[in-house]
Amino acid sequence: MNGGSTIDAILILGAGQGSRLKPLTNNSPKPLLSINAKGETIVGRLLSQIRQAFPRASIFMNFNSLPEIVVEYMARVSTNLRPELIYERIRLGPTKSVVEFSKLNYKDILVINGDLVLSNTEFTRMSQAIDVPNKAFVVVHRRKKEDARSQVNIDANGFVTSIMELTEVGNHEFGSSFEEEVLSLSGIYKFPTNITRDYIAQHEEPLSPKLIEFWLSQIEVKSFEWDDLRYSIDSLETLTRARMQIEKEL
Amino acid sequence: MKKGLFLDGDGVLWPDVALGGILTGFNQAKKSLIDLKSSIFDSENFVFLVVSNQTLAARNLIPEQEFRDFVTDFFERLIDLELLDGYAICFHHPKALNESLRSANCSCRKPRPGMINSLLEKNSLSSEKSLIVGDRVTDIIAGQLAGLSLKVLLSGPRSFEFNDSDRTESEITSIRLKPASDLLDVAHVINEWGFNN
Repeated sequence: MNGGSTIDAILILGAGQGSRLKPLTNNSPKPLLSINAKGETIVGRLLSQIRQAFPRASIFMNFNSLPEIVVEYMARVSTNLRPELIYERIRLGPTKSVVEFSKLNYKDILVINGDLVLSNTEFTRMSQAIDVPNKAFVVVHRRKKEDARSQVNIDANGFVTSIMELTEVGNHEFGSSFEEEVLSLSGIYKFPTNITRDYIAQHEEPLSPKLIEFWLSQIEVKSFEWDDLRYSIDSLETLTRARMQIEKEL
Repeated sequence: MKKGLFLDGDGVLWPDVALGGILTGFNQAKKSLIDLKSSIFDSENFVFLVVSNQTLAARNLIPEQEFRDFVTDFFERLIDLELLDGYAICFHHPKALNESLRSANCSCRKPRPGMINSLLEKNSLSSEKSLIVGDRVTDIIAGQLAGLSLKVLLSGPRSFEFNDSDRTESEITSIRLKPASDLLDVAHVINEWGFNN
């Protein structure tokens, strides 16, 4: 699988506070929450999928809260899956984390939110589709505009033409339907690092629109749309739904 | 060129105990080094070095000269056994009761990189071909400031403790490390790293 990939490094974003999942995250960072009865964790599943798709890439994960627990967990992960960890003494926020990571000597990198639960099939399909040298990709999915935090507009060929950040209540134009669906960012980005090295992050949150606007000014950005299972674990409800779906997969 | 393997003492080669694990740690240090050497595939290509903060004399628990003599004998015996190639020890502490060892700005006390830098130079080693193994994030910071390629942190409940005395001139916000569970696991991590370096 993909042994000739040009993606040479993967950064899992795991430095969030997990505040929407308290009290579950009081003693366990969000990526370490279990997602099935066998005790598989969100990040454990991601690591297996990443290694399967990118056998030779270096894997990294940043973290901030409960550092001893993260290190203890990762020290038990088999060495071929074990990521190099980046401990942020002061939480940088995802944009600055990515910008800092871009300074390392890697060419094409993939950034994945550490709270994503993805189907194996879809992960493989995605990893093959975005593995194009010197191209930037964002992975998008359809969701109701009122629930979306970002809106990505693409042309007929899948190239991103614009991106906007949506407020919590959505940027609804007068008369637009609340059922309207938009393409929204999924928390997976692939890009050549040379286009972000000069970028100086001005905003902590969110990662995507500001940085992607910058990419758009420098390079063509293509989109990849998810078909099926993809959960961003941001509530007990999404965690439960992901667990149910994974049990079915097994 | 050989690769430098920098090892912390307390908590890595011998147990970290309040009254100075080094005092009773010789046999454990010997065993740890034998285990590491036998588990690293190309151990003959590594220069084995210890970098350790030792504060028993600074805390006036042992007369300074007596402790210095003990430490020298401890490491020279390991060198005679061909288990170790060199060492550097920092006896300072910013709040030392022993005034001659009181220093807030010495370049040697980890997390400062002074001991690593001097051993790199003394042994003609490249920082990009060298690594450190520690049980505290202060070891990792010292390795990072010295530009070491790999920093391995042994997992433990006190790994991320910072004290007022753990200061560096450089403000480091991001620390890169590879976690490991025990010395055998450290050898696995080094083997994988060595394979690519």
